Amino acid sequence: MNQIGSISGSKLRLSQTSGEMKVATGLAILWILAIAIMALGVIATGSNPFEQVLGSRRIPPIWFEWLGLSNVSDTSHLFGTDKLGRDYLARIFLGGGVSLLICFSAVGIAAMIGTTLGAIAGYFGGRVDACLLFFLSVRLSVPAILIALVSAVLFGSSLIMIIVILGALLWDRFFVVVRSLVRTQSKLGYVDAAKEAGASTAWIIAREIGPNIRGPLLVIVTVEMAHVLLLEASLSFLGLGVQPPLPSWGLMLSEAKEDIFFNGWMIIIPGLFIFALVFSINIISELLRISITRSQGRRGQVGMTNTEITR
Amino acid sequence: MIVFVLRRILLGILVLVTVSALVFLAGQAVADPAVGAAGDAATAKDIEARRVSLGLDQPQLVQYLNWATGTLSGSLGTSYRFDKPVAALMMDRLPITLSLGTLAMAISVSLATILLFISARRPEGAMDNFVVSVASIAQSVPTFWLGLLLILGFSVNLNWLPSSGSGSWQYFVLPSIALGIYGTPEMYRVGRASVLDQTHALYVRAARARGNTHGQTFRRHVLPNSLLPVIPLVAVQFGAFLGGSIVVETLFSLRGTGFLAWEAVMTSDLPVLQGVVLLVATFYTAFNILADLLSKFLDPRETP
Amino acid sequence: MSAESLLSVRELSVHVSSSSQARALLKNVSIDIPVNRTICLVGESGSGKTTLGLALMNILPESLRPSAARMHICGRDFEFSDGDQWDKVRGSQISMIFQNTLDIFDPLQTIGGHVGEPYELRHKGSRAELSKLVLDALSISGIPNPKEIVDLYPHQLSGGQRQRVLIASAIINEPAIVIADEPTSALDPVNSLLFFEAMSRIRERLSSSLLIITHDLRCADRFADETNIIKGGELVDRVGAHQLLAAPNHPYTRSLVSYLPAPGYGSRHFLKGESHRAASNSEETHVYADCLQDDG
Repeated sequence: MNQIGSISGSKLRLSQTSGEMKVATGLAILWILAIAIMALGVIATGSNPFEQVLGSRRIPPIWFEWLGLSNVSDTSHLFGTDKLGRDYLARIFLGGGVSLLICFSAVGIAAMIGTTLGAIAGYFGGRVDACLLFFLSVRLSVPAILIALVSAVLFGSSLIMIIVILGALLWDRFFVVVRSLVRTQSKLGYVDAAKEAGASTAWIIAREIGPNIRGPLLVIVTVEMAHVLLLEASLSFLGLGVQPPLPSWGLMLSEAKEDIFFNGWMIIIPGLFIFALVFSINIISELLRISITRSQGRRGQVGMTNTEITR
Repeated sequence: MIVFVLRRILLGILVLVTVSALVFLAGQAVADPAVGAAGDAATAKDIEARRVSLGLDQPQLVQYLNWATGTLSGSLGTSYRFDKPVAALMMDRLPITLSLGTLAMAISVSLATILLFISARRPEGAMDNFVVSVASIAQSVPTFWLGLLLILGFSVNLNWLPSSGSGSWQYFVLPSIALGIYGTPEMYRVGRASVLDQTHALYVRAARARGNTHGQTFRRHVLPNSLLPVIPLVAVQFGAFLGGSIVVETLFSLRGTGFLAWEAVMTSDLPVLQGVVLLVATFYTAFNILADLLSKFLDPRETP
Repeated sequence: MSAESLLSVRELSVHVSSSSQARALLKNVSIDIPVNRTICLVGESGSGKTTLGLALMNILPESLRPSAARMHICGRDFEFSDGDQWDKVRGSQISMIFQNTLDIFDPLQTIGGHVGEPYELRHKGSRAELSKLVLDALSISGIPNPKEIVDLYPHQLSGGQRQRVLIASAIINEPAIVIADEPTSALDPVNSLLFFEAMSRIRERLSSSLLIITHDLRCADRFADETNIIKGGELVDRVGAHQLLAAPNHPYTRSLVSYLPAPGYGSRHFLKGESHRAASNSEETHVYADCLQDDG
């Protein structure tokens, strides 16, 4: 093997992929960090999010004290307590961690399913494509939340079930985007070149086309993250998502609903957190989208054949 | 052209058949319906008798066909909980869902149109960017939280509107607003992207050269071309709204089909769920077909 | 001289206002279009001729900034910043025949609507009146049976038909000046000649002045009363009628002409009116030489 060829080959691959890989790695680190922070947060509050202290129920958050609206709040419960006396802040932290965990896992599953199916449909076309498209139509004819409800009846509502169901439902956007990307990429010269060189289908899809679709794929990942978070919150709100005693921001909102007439603050806090998290993810996905379209001019059509270089 | 319409409808029917098969299988997967139907005090013999009477000893395919033909003729089984025909239950609730859906759609379309007009006057300008941010924010707000805030604001604090239940038009205001706001950002985004595409099109320059002012160019040329991709989206959205919003209805205890579905889940009332799923799938599929047909017919380049 | 001119422009410049260094597409161009004349503007691709045409009607893309010491059109002075005054004259006193592509048409507008629009925007006449004018304009432009195409959509016509529709919409208000931007680039030699002949007829009938932007030197030489040569955004030469091919003085003009193949090249294939793609195409300057010669 040509020494020079292989060195420049691996260098080429690095520079091609470093952009998106950096972001993906960054995201993965952020996730782990977020869950870690959540855990730390729970510990930091010094309170047990599950411990019910019926004597101190429905204590308003600390700022009510500052605003002179209450004299019961104290620093041991910065966000107050809920209807069963559990520390609100601790539950916010834990609930966030649970939601993020579900989000990450479900998106991972959905991405795997959707990308694989999309790549197959886009690459092979014809009957296979038509079949998969029909499958997509069936999936899209019923909204995800309804299917999730039916699944709750059939399979119960454990944490694992939620992750699996959400993952099995939200692959549609991955499928559509990957399919169209693979379709256009397949028509480009470098794929034919790889075929001529005798590369197997799996190799072509993974190593040739793969790097060229990482960017848009990343955007979809972020979009679906927001989607999962909202869906999980809705399910938990309806009582079919995260089950007590585990907290989830959606669940906390449904618990707060009963108290809406007297303790309005209870519905503001969890909702605000959901909004803030989803909004920041949406911003990230917008930024990603902009940077992808900017670099697409350069990279979109330039697909170097890895096969050639490493020979 | 007729061929296209027929093929599209056929595809839709196939999708519905598949959904119905899945729905049927879901029904089989859960606890033995004979047990549920026979009641709590049934003996093994009773259950067996029930099984035969319900036709459960037949092969799966036969059962499915029986069920399917029954469905097509309007019988969707009996609710476990209410012991009433599912079809009747749904018909009872349907008007409310349809009203909510239509109202929400009207709000969405109106809001999106207003936002688009603001944005389109000066694309990429300060106002436009502001509206885009607002739309972005609206998309990140969980619908049920928005509903809760509306309740907090208008029911609890201002006491203008009822917070839950069904009844006169007042009960529809907050839910429609919540659902309407939910549907607006997507419509606005697609509309805006479409308008931006069109303003860079070549025919704009030619239109100006023929004497159209900026405003005339927009009204006579850019706008109709921009609406072309938006209309199918609106159709699909409408189908979704008519299919019912489970979250909004449940939050406001509005007695529509969505709320019915939630109640059915809470009581493991599978026949009702099956019925709702079929109903929703029918709406979605019908409006998807409509959207496809619209995009084909409205564009003179597509119509042969 | 200026007093008679329909259009008189002094020191027209167009800059690209991007963040990197500003580039000048046109540099201090001065041009006059007298009454009842055919003026041609020739140059290589990228020389700025289309930009000049767009600037004269103030329909440049947003990213381009025009400026001029003087813009005098049809007896009035114009400022680039005043949008309203331009709206009034576009389509009625000065109009443009664009390069014929499908994109230049609004896909949702019928041919009748397209052609009638300049008139409809300005006059509140009856439908019948408008209809008659549209059919007339299409006839003059060379469409044999206008009634057949008025209700069709642009994508349903052939390239040649669309070209004539573009002419029709430009002349329906009988403008004083008609600018044609590379109208024959996409046309074969036969249709090119037919186009120029149609324009001559129109000129006679409407007494309009024409500004034809082209790289077809032969047709320019044959039909123009005056030909301006543009290079790199600047006007480098000006020759009178039939002088372009005969005795160009300017070195650049001479070099342009020198790329033309010998007269009569390929033209014997066209004698019987066959359609044919351009016979020769210089690699360097894309100067077409596909206009029929009298002696061909």
